Amino acid sequence: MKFRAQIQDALYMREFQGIIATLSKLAKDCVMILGRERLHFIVNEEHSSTSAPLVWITIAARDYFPEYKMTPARDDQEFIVLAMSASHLNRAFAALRSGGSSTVLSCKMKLQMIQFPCLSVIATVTSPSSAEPREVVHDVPVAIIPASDWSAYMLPKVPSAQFVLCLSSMRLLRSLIDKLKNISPNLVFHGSAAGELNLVAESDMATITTRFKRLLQSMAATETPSTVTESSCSVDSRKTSAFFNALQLPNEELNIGIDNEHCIHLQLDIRENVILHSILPAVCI
Amino acid sequence: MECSLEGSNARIIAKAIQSLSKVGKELFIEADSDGLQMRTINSTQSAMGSMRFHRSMFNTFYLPPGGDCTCKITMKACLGVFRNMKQVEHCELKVLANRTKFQVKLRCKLETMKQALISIVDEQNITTAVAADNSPNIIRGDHKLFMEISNSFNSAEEELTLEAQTDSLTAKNYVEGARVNDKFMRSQLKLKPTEFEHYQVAQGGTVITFCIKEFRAFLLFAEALNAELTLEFDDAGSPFFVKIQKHREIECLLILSTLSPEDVSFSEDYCQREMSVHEQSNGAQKRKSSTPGAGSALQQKRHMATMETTLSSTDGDASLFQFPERPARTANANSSVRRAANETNLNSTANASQTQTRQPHSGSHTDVPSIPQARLLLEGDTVDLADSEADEEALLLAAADAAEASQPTSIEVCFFNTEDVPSTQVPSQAADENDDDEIIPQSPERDNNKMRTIFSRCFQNTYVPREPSPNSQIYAANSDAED
Repeated sequence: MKFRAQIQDALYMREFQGIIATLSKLAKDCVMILGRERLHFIVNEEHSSTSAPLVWITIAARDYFPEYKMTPARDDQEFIVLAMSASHLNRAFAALRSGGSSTVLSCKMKLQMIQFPCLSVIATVTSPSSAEPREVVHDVPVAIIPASDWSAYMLPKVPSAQFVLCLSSMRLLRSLIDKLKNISPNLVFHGSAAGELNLVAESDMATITTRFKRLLQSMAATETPSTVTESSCSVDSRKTSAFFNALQLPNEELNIGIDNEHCIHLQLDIRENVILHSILPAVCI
Repeated sequence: MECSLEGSNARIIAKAIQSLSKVGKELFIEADSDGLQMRTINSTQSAMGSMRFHRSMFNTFYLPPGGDCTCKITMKACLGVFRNMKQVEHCELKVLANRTKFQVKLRCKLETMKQALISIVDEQNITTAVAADNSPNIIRGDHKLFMEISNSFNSAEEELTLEAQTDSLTAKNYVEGARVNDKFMRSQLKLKPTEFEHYQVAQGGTVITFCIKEFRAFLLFAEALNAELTLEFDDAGSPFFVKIQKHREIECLLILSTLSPEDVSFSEDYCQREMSVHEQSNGAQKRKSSTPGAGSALQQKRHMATMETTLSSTDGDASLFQFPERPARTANANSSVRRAANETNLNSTANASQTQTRQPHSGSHTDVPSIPQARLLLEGDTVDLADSEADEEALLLAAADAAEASQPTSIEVCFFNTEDVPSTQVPSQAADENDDDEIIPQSPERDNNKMRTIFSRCFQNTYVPREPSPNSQIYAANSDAED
């Protein structure tokens, strides 16, 4: 079982750091699935609290990492599955958040056995106060999940939504949901074939409907074009808010898929082949 | 003592107090002919911070006619007084004539005057029997650099390990191979020597581990002064010094204990015995049973042989902060309690019996003139001493004797290993006791004794499994009806 990866591009590094910061805001623990071609992170819904939504991220390894070597424990296996603390991982990658002051030359990830299995994150950083590059090493302790338990950690399937509406800027939606969660425990997402998204929050005193009009429909929704004209789903507003508050990425475009009375699927295309998904399950009103 | 200073200098003093407050709970202020000095020591006596402000920082500086002036005040009160310093234009510090209050007058903008009186807890001072020079490893660098090192570790981190090699410096949050908790994230930062202003490390390198909290406190002050930091250290287990110097006007020294290499998991035991407290008692009003004339200096035998250079602090050249004219009374309560806590049951009972036999006469001779007398205490921790260290004990004894001969007003307190105590010592002690004229009473034993019993109780097995609680009265019967 071997794993080794390296990033060199500063933009990719910042993005990768953003992804991990998002994960650490969502949950305590995350699962890293290392495939031959792709790298996945899953943040599972915590059983104790219902506020964290299910989020997973898929990264095409070849685009991101100039060097990516993964050797599974056995030849017939496809993955290495690791569980680790998201906050530790975030701290380990915090050095990559070069706020103009320091520049990161390269960042390596390595699976190592130092007393216990660790994912070593080795960053070479140059600080503004000196020209000499420094080496920052963090050994994040990981738990290797055996192949027999993999079924519990497999990637969720993207649900088949009736409508997928593309919101070009989620800045408004983010602040809106943050306020609506104080009004109602549930939020109803209402999509129509005309490219309209209605967001409804109801309380005893008031019903607040926000309309987003003339949204683009994504191509994925064209499978059943004529049969359904409307679709709606009610979701937990705290969970929705938790998702939007956790996002640490600069992207503003969001695809909202509505599976009627079943779930809401949120998809954030960080770049081609680097995609963040989230599923908000429906709640009964 | 009375001094006054400008607002900008007062803000520096306020920053210094803020930094020191992160180290200890009490502030020791001392004024002498060179200037003002503020010190603090942490509760486990593993860190001592000292900041000296030169006389040139003050507009006026008057010492009391008697010479030096020392006082101890609580840090909490002091922090409150020096909290909001933005508006301050002029500051006056004064110890009131009867030496019970420390007065701070702050003249702010708009002719506002703030006045605070902080009560003086004690006229006490602390010294360290540690030589702050001649460390083989010296690393000096800008505060920004050390700040970056400090910031690259979690704020909850307790210890920092520095691995100084001739070609690199590695800062780690773990001791190599020591920790086994599988939830712990290890971090390390490797720097090149060229990043530092001055980098001198002895061949072979050194690994030291110290508390990062106090280090960060001083780093904060260095940042406020925009000054350089100098780290000086020897080997693992021997003290670690952090020095800040600014224009010869402000000199700061932080002494930190480091983790002893041979026993990483029991590091606390070693941390506590690097410093001694020298206390100047506030006359008879505080401690009635203390002897006004008799002075004694506590010598703590360090585990490490490096401390041998500072054997006799009363000789005057080794200790950092001295009051040669004034006899210092020893506050050995804390340290002996800790020692008692470390001792085996056998040792502590022996110790108790010894102090008991001495107690009656210590009360009866309060007015006799002072005469040197070696006091026997058991050093339970030195049971594992090697032969070479037994020689050190002999050296220590000799030094004590020499001190007695040269300075009749001082008492050397020595710790003997139980096995190493010469059997002739006890009879000679008894002979001393019979000779009424030459006896001075011991420093009060009452506290020690009490605490010793408390601490020995902590280590007794009090839990009896068959009795779940002392008041095992049953108020409600078992509600399960089946039995």
